[in-house]
Amino acid sequence: MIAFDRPWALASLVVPLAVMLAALRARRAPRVSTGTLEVWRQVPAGAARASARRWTPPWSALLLVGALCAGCLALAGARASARAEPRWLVLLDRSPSMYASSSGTTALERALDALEALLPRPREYRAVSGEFVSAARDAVPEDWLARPRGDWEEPDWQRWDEPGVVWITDRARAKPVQAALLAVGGEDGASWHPSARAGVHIDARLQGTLFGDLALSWCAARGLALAPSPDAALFVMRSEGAEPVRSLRCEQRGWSLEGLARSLPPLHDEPSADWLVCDGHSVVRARPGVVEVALDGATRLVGDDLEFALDFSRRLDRAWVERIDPPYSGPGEYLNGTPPAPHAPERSYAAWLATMAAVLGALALAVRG
Amino acid sequence: MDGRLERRDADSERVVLGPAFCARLERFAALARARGARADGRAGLAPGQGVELDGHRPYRDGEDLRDLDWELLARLGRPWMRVRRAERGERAVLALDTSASMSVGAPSKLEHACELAAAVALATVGSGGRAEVVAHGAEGRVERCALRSRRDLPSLLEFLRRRIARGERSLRELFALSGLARSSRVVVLGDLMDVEPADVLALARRGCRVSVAAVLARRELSPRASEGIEWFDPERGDTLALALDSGVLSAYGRALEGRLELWRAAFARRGQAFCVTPSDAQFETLALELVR
Repeated sequence: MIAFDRPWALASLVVPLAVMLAALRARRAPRVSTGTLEVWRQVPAGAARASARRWTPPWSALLLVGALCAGCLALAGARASARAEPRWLVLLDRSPSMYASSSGTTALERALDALEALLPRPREYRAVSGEFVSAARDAVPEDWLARPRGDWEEPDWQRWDEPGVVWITDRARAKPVQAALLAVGGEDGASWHPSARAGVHIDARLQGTLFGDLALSWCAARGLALAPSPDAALFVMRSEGAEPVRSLRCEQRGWSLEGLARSLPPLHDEPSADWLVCDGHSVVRARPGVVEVALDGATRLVGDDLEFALDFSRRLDRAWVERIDPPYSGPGEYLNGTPPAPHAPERSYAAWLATMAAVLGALALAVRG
Repeated sequence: MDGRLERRDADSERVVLGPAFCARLERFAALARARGARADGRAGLAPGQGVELDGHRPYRDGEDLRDLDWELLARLGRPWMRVRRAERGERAVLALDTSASMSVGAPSKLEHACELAAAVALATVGSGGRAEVVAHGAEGRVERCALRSRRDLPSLLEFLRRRIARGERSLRELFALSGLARSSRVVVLGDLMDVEPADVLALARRGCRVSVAAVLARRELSPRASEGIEWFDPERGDTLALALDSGVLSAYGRALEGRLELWRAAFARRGQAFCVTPSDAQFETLALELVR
């Protein structure tokens, strides 16, 4: 099936048509009156046939018309459906909460199980973290089923709002219009409902410090209660590293910190994310349920303190969410109806046609010359 | 201005005979009168096939033996033909072909034939004779126009300008007119493609000389090579598509020359005048030839 980006440009095909008609008209044998037609009829038939066979096509005009046609089609943006079967695109949310276990399976595994019954093949899977995209065809790679190491950023979901795309997420931060949403593990905002067992424990050694005050403000904003250590869902801790105290300075987007700290000891076999690294030493890091701070109370903040507070709050958010079981733990389902089928993949021929137009035009000039 | 310049460049079924031609015709009339005066000074006769002897010329193959001077043959051992002079007051009839094929050429064959007709008629009057042009009219009827004196010249030119090359009007119809039988000279002007030599030579008899000018367009006499051309017969509407390479042109040239040679030989045998002229030729020289 051929389609055009600019179908109105097809009107320019009248140009090669006119050139063709003009060429044919020019090539047509002119009709000339004569009173000696009977004499012409006496010309031996063999000589007349032999001369008639020497007619040669108007190559120059044909090449020029071909070049003009190709140019017009290129101008119209010709494209055609590829022969390959259209492929569904499954966009995976690999945020830590998708790996929260419930009834022995993670939300991501439940979503993929549900997808088998809901979505035909072939498929292509993509995991998006911010601007970074990982792709896989036909099957989800094994390592995608494990919690990703390192940081994870919310993708720009609306960029992927297209027919034939299925979002798999536990928190739809955008409402899809053309894509389908396969929600697993909860709907937007569900994870923020405080519960009796979802308290926050702030290390007493952080009280009165920059990080302790911010953690208290965050709890108040989220409506979370402080809880004693055994019942807490999130621990904000001051950690003591084994290395000696040193003066550190770290700069981030719009702000910087100066203070004394011991670097945090490394963690083995436990995913975590270093949030603040000063002079190569991790001084603040977060993992599910735990935020560790190595800087002491005399830390000095310079620059955009609001940006610093928001950064730290996001870190607390992430550590907090990871400890909440999603309220929806059943099989996934489409929340916005059956997804529209993906468009057949199309291939644009504009560049190819433009090249052909140039080549044919050059040949026409060469033949004419 | 040259008379040729006022003619049309394309085929035309109409006749122009513009002011430039009229000026040239005046000069031609003066030339013809001067020749007539010289002839009168010698014998009071205009040149032509009359009864008075004008001289002799060598015999040409195929000529009518009735004018062979047998005495000279016996005395000199070589054949000589008697050249006679037309009588004063000869009556010439000019048969003009106005069939559609006469529209061919630039200028058209009809234009050139009309130029010749006007010039021959004027020369005939200038030598003391009378001339009458017969041709088909626009509606197919035979029309005549007589030239008894130079005063009739405007009406003759007007008559000629009304000629239109159209349809299939055969010259044979003109040959059957009674006036031709009483004439002392018949001049036939046309492309002669629809008549045979015998049709015209049937008019030749004792006391009546026949002169024929075959008017052909330049493209008919010497067509140029072409990758492709569609010949069109304006009389019958037939067409013939050909590529004109050297082989085809040679074959055509041979066929046309063969046909014209038939005319030349037939007329030479009967001692009558036959000539071929392209439609873009000057009329003066040929007109003088036709009245001699």
